[in-house]
Amino acid sequence: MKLKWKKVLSVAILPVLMLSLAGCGGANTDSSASTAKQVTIHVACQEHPDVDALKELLPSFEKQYGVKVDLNVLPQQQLNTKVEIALASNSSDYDVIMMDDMQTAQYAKAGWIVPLDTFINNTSLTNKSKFNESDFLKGFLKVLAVNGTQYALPFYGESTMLFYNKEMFSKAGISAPPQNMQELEADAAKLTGNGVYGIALRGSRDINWYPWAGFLFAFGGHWLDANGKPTLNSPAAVQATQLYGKLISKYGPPGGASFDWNQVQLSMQQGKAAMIIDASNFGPRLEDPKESKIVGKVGFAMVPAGPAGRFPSVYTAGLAIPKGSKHQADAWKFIEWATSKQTQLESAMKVSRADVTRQSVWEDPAYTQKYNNKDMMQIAVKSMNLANPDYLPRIPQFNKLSSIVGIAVSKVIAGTNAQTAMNQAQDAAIQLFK
Amino acid sequence: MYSKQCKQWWATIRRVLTLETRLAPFQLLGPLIIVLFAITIFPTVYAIWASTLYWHLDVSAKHFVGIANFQHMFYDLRFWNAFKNTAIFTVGSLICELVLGMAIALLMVNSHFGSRLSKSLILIPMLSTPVVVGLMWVLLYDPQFGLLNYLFNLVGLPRQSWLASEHYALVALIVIDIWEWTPFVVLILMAGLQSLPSDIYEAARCDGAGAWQAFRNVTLPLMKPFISIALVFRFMDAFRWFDTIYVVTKGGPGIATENWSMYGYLTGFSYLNMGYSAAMGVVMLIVIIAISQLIIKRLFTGYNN
Repeated sequence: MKLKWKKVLSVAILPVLMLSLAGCGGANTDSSASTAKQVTIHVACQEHPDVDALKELLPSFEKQYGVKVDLNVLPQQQLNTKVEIALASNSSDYDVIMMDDMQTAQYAKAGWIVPLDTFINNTSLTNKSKFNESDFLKGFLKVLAVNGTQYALPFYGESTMLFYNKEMFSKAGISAPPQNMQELEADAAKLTGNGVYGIALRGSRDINWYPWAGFLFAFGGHWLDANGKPTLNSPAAVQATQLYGKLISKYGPPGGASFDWNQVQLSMQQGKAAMIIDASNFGPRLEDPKESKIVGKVGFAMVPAGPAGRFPSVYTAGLAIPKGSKHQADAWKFIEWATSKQTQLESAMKVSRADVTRQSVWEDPAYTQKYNNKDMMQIAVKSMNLANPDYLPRIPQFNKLSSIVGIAVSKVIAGTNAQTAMNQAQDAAIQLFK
Repeated sequence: MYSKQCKQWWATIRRVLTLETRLAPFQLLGPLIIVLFAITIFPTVYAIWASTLYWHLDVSAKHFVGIANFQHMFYDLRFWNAFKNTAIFTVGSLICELVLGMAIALLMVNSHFGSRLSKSLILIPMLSTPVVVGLMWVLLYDPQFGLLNYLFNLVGLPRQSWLASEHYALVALIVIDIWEWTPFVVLILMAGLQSLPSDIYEAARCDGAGAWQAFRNVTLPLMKPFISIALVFRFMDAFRWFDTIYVVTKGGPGIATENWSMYGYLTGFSYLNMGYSAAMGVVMLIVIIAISQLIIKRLFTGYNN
């Protein structure tokens, strides 16, 4: 009898378990249905100080609009992967996504994100004068649009500039920041030694193409020619890559081949690197005593010029609405709020933000009072105004193209001849456009 | 009347629940088959189907292209680079792990090194999470703050950044794998060594065999099945290694440490080319099956003869 009961139990337990699992599922859907009156929108966004500030401000949005906001914060690389999978399956997981401006063409062409113009022009949703689209910096709007259709609004934006350690410069007997590429290389060589490295740049193959492109243009190179054919092994591109690789491998901190923006910023903050060329929004963080050891010693300059001129980058993280979202109107309200003058200004008061995207915020007295470092602000604004919207090619294949370049640059840093690496990249890129 | 029917019903239910009906095999195997179908058979068939499609996630239309994805592999240099890396990595770590594992197992079996404490200690690397192992080794290899470079400095050697070097990054990864998985080989081989009969050794000694001869002619042949089990397990693991590489180098510098799994992952989830990614997965599966079969057949038949 005892044995029998054991048998009964063992067989009976399984269906019970299954039922209970099913029960769980049922209970879940029920509970979400009962709270459906209060809409929750799910926002996928980058791990970024600006997002931290936004999180603190969320209660005011939720109170004002009666919409709950769930922020899914992920590091940039993982975010892109996760979001793209969600977009491709047309899922309703996210109502708002944060995306790199370079992805706009790809996402728009795939029909993954909805044009925002319908929301902007819908007077019942948007108060046009309050929204004031022309207040956004032109360059940022442009890179988030395809053929004049706006697909995302700029949440934060930046350009590249040169940061240098004034103390190290005077120690090495250099009086002014490098103005051109020859000076950059010579200064980097002079500054390297005694535990200090001349320059830190992004070396990681995932992201090195971003500062690299500034070198490319400075030497007169281009990603693509006028016909859209890749020109990655042009003499200019090879020269640019060679210099970029040399700066990292010879005058950069060890392990620079795997640096992304975080490590670049850290090596400057820690007083390991004498110069960096990176995002303009590093400025306040280099001057933040909580993070940085070089407060008060930071100099700011435009990126050095090459034979073809000076080419600061443009990058902006945009907020867009996936096609699969079931709460698009609420999502739009969130985007409008998150990019509004008031929200940007308030978040700039909470964290270090030299990356706001509205002219009116840059000019606001409260903002200029907090960010009173004239040099930094002037250089940042000057760089953003000079920035070329075609800094990165706005093509659907950009993801793959940048990966090809990233690998080539990474190889050059690790010691491969620049001509060889760029020839390989050119071949791979031609394959890509076939 | 009513209660009688009830009793009958209950009896039937009880017979079903106690596995006394003809339904018993279905009851027992059913859940297993459903689970197996959901997590193994369906995905495999789906992957094979996907490998015959032109399927980019960012292009909505997908269509049948037959073997085009497989043809593409032949002239995709990055695919062959990944293949080369997978091969170097697998062969390198397998040989080192087997030799080292055998040496440690011999040392530990029947000696005071084989105490319970040391047996548990040696398992620690194997029990750690691969991602944690990766992060730990990134710190160890760090050119500025890493322990290994500190030791290099002490003996007067220049600082090295192994993970940033095209030549040493793969070796550095192999070292991690050896560190992590040699204990597994030790575990299997030690179990094997303990099960060997002692009379054969006595006979060998009577015939005048020395320690090396006894090892070469008695231990090794008898250990073949255990070696082949260790080999198959480690082969399959090393061949599709992903987690630690993702944490340590992500396939860089350049594509110097990009193996098949890594390239397949990037193709699918970064470049969104699902068809080609699936095709690579299918090829990997075929290669793994073929080589494991080869190992098992060769070593096991060797034992039986």
